[in-house]
Amino acid sequence: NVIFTDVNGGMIAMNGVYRLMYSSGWAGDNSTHTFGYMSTMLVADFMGDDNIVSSSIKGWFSMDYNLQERNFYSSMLYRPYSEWNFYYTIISNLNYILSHEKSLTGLPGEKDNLFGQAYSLRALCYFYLIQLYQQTYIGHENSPGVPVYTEPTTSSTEGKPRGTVANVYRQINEDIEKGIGLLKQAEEQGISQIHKSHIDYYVANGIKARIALVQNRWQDAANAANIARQKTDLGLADASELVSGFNDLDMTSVLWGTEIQKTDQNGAYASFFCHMDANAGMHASYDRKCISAWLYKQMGIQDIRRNNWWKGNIAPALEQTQGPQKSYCTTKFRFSEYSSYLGDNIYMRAEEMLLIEAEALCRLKNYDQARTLMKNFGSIREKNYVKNRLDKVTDSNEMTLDIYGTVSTPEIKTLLDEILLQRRIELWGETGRIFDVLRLKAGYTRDYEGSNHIVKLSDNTKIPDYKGFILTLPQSEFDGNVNMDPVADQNPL
Amino acid sequence: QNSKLTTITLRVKNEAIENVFKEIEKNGKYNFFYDPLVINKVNPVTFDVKNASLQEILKIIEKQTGLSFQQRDNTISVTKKKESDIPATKTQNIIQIKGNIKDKKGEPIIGASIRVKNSDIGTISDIDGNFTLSKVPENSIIIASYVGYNSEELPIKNKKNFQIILSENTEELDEVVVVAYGTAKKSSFTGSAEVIKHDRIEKRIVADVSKAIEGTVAGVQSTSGSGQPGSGASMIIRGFGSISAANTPLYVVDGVPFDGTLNSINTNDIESITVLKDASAGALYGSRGANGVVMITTKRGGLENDKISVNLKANWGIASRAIPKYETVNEAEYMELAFEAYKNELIYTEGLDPAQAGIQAIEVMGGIAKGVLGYREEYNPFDMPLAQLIDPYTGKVNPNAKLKYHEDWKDELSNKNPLRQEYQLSVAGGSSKTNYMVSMGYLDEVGLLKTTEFERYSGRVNVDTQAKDWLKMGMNASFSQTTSNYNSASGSEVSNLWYTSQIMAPIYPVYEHNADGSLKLDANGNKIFDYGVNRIALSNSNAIALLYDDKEKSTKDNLSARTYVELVANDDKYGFLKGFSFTANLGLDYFNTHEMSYQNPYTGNAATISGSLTKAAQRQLSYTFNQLLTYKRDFGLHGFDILVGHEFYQLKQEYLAAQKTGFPFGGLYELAAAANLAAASSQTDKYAIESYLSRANYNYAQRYYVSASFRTDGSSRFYKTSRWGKFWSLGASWRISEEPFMAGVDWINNLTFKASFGSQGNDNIGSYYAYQSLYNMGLTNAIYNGAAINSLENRDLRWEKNENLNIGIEARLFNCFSLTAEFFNKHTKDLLLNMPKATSTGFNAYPANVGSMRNRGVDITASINIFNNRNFRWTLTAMGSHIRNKILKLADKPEIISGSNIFREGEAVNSFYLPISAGVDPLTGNQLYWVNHDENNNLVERYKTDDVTLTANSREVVGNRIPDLYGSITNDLAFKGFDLSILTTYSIGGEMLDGIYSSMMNVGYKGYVWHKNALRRWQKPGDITDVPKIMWDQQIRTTDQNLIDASYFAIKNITLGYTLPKKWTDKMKMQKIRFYASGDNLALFSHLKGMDPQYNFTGTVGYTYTPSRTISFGIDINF
Repeated sequence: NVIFTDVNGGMIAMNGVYRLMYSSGWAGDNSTHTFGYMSTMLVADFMGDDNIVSSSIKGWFSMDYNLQERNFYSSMLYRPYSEWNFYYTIISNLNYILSHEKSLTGLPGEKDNLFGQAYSLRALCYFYLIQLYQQTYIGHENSPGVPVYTEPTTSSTEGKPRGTVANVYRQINEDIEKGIGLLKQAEEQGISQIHKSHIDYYVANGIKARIALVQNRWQDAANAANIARQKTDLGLADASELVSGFNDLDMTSVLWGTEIQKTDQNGAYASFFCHMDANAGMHASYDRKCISAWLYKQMGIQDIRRNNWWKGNIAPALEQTQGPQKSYCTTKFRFSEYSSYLGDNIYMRAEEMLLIEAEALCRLKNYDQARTLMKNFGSIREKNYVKNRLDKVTDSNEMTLDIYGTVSTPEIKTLLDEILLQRRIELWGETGRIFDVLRLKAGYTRDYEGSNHIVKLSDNTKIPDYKGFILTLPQSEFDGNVNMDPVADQNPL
Repeated sequence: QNSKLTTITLRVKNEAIENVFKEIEKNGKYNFFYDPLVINKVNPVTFDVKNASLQEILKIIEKQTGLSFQQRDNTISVTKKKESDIPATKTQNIIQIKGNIKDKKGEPIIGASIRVKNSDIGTISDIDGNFTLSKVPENSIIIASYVGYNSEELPIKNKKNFQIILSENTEELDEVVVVAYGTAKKSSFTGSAEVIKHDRIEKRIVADVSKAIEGTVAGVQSTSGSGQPGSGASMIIRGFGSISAANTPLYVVDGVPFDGTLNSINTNDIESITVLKDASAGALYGSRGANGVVMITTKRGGLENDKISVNLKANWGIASRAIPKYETVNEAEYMELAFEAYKNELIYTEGLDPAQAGIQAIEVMGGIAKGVLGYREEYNPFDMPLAQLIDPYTGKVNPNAKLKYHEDWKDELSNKNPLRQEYQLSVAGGSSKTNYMVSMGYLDEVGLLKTTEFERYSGRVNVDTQAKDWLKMGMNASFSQTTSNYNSASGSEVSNLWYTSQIMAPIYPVYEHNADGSLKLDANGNKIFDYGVNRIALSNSNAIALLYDDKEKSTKDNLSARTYVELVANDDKYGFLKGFSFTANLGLDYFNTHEMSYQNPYTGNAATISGSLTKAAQRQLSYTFNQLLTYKRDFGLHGFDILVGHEFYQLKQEYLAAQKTGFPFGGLYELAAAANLAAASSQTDKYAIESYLSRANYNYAQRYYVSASFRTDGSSRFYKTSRWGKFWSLGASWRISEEPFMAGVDWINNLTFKASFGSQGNDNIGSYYAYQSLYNMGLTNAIYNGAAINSLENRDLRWEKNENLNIGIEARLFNCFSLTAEFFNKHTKDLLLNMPKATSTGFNAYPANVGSMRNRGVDITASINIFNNRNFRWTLTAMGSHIRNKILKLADKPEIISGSNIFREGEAVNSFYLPISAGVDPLTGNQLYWVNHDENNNLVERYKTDDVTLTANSREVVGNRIPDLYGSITNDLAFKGFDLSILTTYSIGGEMLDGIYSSMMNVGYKGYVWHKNALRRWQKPGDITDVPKIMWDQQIRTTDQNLIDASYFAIKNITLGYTLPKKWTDKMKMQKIRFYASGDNLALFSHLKGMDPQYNFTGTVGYTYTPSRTISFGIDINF
C-alpha cells in the first residue's frame, strides 16, 4: 500500500476525499443531479418551502421539489441512492485514513492536522446522513438511525444495522470533539489551513455549531459559532461582495469551500452553478430557480438582496421563456467564468455562523448580544435595518412567525422570528431549508395566498415530521446488508 | 564430351520421370536441373537400355514425354517443348473422347471434373452429365472426380465413349473440424462442434461476421445488433454462463485467441467458422472457453483443378429499417389526448368541476408555462386556433381542421436509400510446396442515420510452405483500416436521435414553418432547423441539426498476424521419432484507434463553452505464443494422438485523451484551435495468462474413440495464491454404424453416440485487476494531489468454473436425412459475481465467487434432401433449441434485486420482478394493483389498491426473456443454373419488458408522443379497459401487464443466384460467373409492431440505432 506510508500520503487520500465532495456521478447515469455536497444543499433547499424549481418540464431536481425522489429507492439513479452512496463512500475513505492513525510516520502536528480533518469530516457526513434519512434529533432519539462504521471496510465487512438516532449523534459528537481537539493541537504546533478546501480548527467549530443547533444545545452552538468566526482575516462580506455571485473563495466571509480551478474539476452540467445561474444558458436558464413570493416579500424595500439576488414580480407579458427574466428568479449564484464553467463552491461562511450564534443566544435569552450581532449583519444589507426591523421586534425566544405564511404582510413579532427569517433569506440555496423545517418542527405550506409555487403539495407538509421530508433508504443497502430488512428497516414509504 | 564416354544401364517401367533423373544422377555424376511443376505433368516412362549413352537415353525420354534437354558440362536443364515443337508423334495419337457421368442412382452428375492424367487437359460435365474432351493422347488415362464421390481412373485404350458411374464417398463427406490446437475428423470427434462454411457466411450482407452466425448453429442465441454501419451482434452459446462475468464466447482466429475487433476481418476471407459448444471441444481453451468458442479459419491457398483461381466479387445494396416504427398517434389524436391530460389534471389533482375543466384545460394547453403549443400556439399544426380546434366539452378535434404540415422526426433523421458497396479480389494458388492466398477488399456502408458511415480497406496474405519434408512454416497476416462516423449519444440524451425522434410529439416539426404552414427558407433557400426555443419537450435543441454541426469519428488500424513453424517426423526413416511433431505458434493482434468527438460552439451542450473537442488515441497489442508437441501414430487398429504444450498470453493497452474548449468559430477539428485545456489523461492496462496444456486421443478401429484433456491456467486477474485454475475434459464416442454387425444395414449411413464431461473457466469479470484494492489517483483537489479508494481487495477471488455435460447422437439415414441431437447440462460454479455489499460500507459490490447456476437443454439439427436430382435440389435444415436456466445458489442474501429484475435462488437469471396488475378501476380510471402489505408494511391478505407506494413490497417473479424454443429453418434450392436460399429464425416463449412502449402508454413528460394503443384509455366512469386514464405526472408502476410475449419469426436472408451456363463462360474464358440478389433482415413478425425482440438477452429495449435491412445485388466472377 503505497499511499499510507507517511503523513503526506495520508494528505493525498484526504485531498481525494475533498475532491469527492465536489465530484459527480453518485447516481449512475443521472450524474447531472448528483454533484456531491452542493447537490445535497440544493436538494434540501428544494424539498422545503422557499426555493422553487420552476420548470413545467420535468427537469433535474423537479422530483426533489415534488418530494417524489423518495419513491424511487429501488433505482440507483435517484436521490435515496445518491445521497446514501455519496456520504458513505466518503466515510469509507475517511475510515481508511483513520485506520492509519497509529501507523503513519510524520511530524505530530501534521498528523494531528490530517486526522483532525478526517474526524471532523466524518462527523459532518453522519450529520447529513441522519438528517436526510430520519426526522430531527429532538423527539426522535430512539428512532432508527443510520449504520455507523468506524473501521475500514474489507471484503468481509458486514453491513451494520440502523441503530438509533441517539447512537448516531453520539458518534457525531465524539468525532467532532476529537477533530476539534486534534486541529487545535495542530494549530498550536503552527500547522494551519493551507487551502480553504481543508477543514481547520475554525471550520470544525462551524460544523460543531451546526450539529449543536440541531440538538438544541444552544450554549455549545453559540460558543462554537463564535470560535469559528475568530478565524484570522475572516469577516462579514461587504455589500459589493454579496452581489458578486458567490463564486470566489477569497470572499471575506468564506471559511470553507472548494476551488474550481480547471474545467475538469467540475462536472460542467453536473455543477451547482449550472442549476442555479439562469444566465449561463444551461439548465438554470430553462429551469429557473425562484424564491417563494412570500419570503421575497418579507425583505425590506431597501434590502440589497431584494434586487440583487432575485428578480421581483415581473408582469407575465414581460417574462421570457429563458434566462432570468422571470418573476422571483434568482441571480444570487453565478459562474465566475462561463467559457470554462468556473466558479468556486462555498460550503460555509461567517454569516451562517453569525446567524447560528445569534439564534442560540436569543434562545438563551441573551437578547442584547443577539441584537448586536443582528445589527452588524443587517446593517450591511439594509439601510436603517435597526430602525426598520430590529426595533420592531420584542425580546422573546418564541417563534410566533406565521409559519404557514398565509398572511401576505409580514408578521414578525419576536427577535427569534427575525433571526430565523434572516436565516431563510440569507442562506437561501446554500444550507438546505428542509433541515431547518425538520429542526424547528414547523412544517410548511406552499399553498399560501399569492403562492408562486409550481407544485403545492398536500396539507401533509404541515405535519412537522411528515414522511415526505426525509428520504427512503436505497434498495441497494438492503440487497447487501444482512442486518437490515427491506420492509422493517425502511422509512415510511 | 565426357557424356559420350559414360554409359548407362537402366531399366524402368512406368516410372515417374523425376525418379529416372535421380537414377541417372546416381550413375553418371550428372545433375538435372528442372522445374518440378513441369516434370510432374509428363507421362511416366518405360525403357530398357544397356550401356547406352546419356544422349540416347535423353532421346528416348524426349520421345515419351515431350521434354527437351540442354546440356552444359554435367548439368542438364530440362524444359517442356512447346506444343508446336512436338512433332505429331506416331506413338501418341490424339483423339477426341465423349462420355457421360452418372451416380449410382443414374442421376447425371453436373460439374464433375474429367482430366487426362498428368496433363493440363480437362473439362467438366454439363447439366446432363455429358462431356467432350479433345486432343487426348490415345493411350493416356482419364480421371473423373467430383466432391463427395470416389474418383475413377479409366485408361482410354482406343475407347471413344465413356459411361462413367461414380460412387459416393462417405469418407470424403466426413468434414474436417477445426478444433482447439489442431483439426479433427468430424467422425472422430467426441465433442460438440458445428461448422459453418463460407458459402453460408457469404450470403449475409454484413460487415461484422458476428451478425452472420445467427440461425446457423443450434443453441446459439444472437441479438439483432445495432444498425450502426460496421457494428456486430452479441451471442450466447447454450444460455447465460455467468451473471456478472462476461457471457460472450471466446473468438479464435486461425488458432489463436483474437483480441481485435471483428469488423476488421473481411468476411470474404473466412473459410469456415467452427462453434465449440461443450467441454470436450472447448476445454483446451479451458481458461476462457466457458462460454463456448467461436473459431474462425481464414482461406488458404492451393491449386484448384491445377489452376490459380482468381475471384472478383462486387456487391451493391440499399439499407432501410429492419423493424417497423412503433404505431404512434397522429396530430389530431395527439391534440385530443393532450387536452384530456390537461383536463384530467384539473379535475383529479386540482379538484375542478369536470364541467369547468374543459374550458380551463384549453387555456392551460395554449399557455406558455405548461402548454404544449409553445409561444402563441406556434406549434399548433392545424389551420385554426386551439379555441376553435378542440371542443372543450367533447374533447374532439374540429373535423374541418386541416393540417398545415406533417413532419416525422423518424423519417427526417434517415438517409434516403443509403448505399452499401463492397468489392473483393482474391487470388489463391501455389505449387506442390507452397500455397498462398492473397485478398483485397473495400467496403463502404452508409448508415440509415444521417452522417453515419463505416468504411473498411482490408488486405490479407496467407502463405504456407513445406520447406523440407520435415519442416513446414506459414504466416497469415491481415491489415485493415476501418473508419466509423457515428453518434455516441445514448439513453435520454437530447442528441440521441433514437430517443429524440421516438418521443417527440407529432405536432413538433423538424424545420421552421411560416404561419401558413409553408417551410421557412434561409437566404440560400435552405430549410431552417427548428431549435424549439419554446417547445416544451427537449427545448432549445434540434438533434438532427446537431448531427451536422457535431462530429464523432473513429479510425482504427488493425494488424493481425499468425505465424507458425512445424517440425514433423512423418516417415519410417525417422525411426522411433515417427509420429512426433513440434509446432510453435506466435499470433498477435495489434490495433491503433484514433477517436474524435466534436461539439459545435453554437448550439447544443457545448454552446456555453464555445465548442468542445476531444481526441483520444488507443493502442493495444496482444500476443499468444505457444509451443506444442504432438505424437500421432497408428499401431494396427489402435490410433494415438497425444499433445502437450505451453502457452503464454499477454495484453497491453495504452490510452491517451485530451479535451479542449473555446473555439473562435465552428468547423475546426484540431485541438490547437481551441483556447482552454479542459482535460487530459492517459491510462495503461496489462493482462496476462500462462498455461500448460495436454490432450490424449485414442481410437480403436475407428469405432471407439476416447479423448481426455487437461489444462492449467494462471491469470493476472487473480491473486497469486488463487491464480491457477485446473480445467479438464473426458469424452467418448462410439460409431455404431462401423460395427461389423451393422454391415448389413444399408439405410444407416452413419450412427454415432457420444458423451463428454469437463470443466472450463471464466476470468472475465471486467476489471483486469479484479482481486486488487486500487486507489483512483486522478482526484486532484485544487492544486493538491488526491486519491480515493475504488475497489476492495479480494485475494480469494478465483476462476469461475463451468462443468459441462454433453450427450449426443449423430445419424445419417437413407443417404438423405441427417440428424444431430444433443442434451447438455451446464453447471456454473464459483460464479464470479459482483456480490452486493451494503452501500453503507462504501461499496455496493465486490467481486467474489459465490453461488452456482445451471443451464440445461437440448439442441437438435435435422436436415433432409427433399429432392436431389439433376435439375432440382432442395435441402431443408431445421434447428431447434430448448434451454432452462436456474440459479441454484446465491451466497448470503438469497436474492438480488436490480430494477425490474431479480436474481433469486430457484428462479431463472434476470427474472422479471414486478407488481401484479389488478386492471383499471372502472370508476376512477386508476391503475389497480394487487398488494399484500398495508401502509405500515404489515403483511395482510391480498387486496386491490391504486396506491402506487404500496406496490414496492408486493412484487412477484413473473417471467423472463428465455425462450422455450428457438432456432432456424433454412431452405436451399437449386434449379438448373439458379440457386435460392432462405434463412428464417424463430423464437417461441419468453417475455419482454418494452420500456419504450410503456413510456408511450403513460406519458409523463409534456410534449412526448403517445402510442396508438393509448387511444383505448379510460375516459369516463363505467369504461372497461386495460389502459388507465390519461393525465400528466401520473405515477403508474410497471406491472406484469406490461410484459409482452417475446416470440417472433424473422426472415433473415433470402438469396437468389444465377450461374451462367458453362458453355457461355467457357467462351469468355472464365471459370464461373454468378449474379445474385440478396435481402438481409427482410421481415420480422412479433407481438408488438416496432419492438425489437432481439434487442438483448434480458428482454428490455432501448433507444438505440435501429437494425437495418439490406437489399443488394452482386456479381461473383472466377477467372
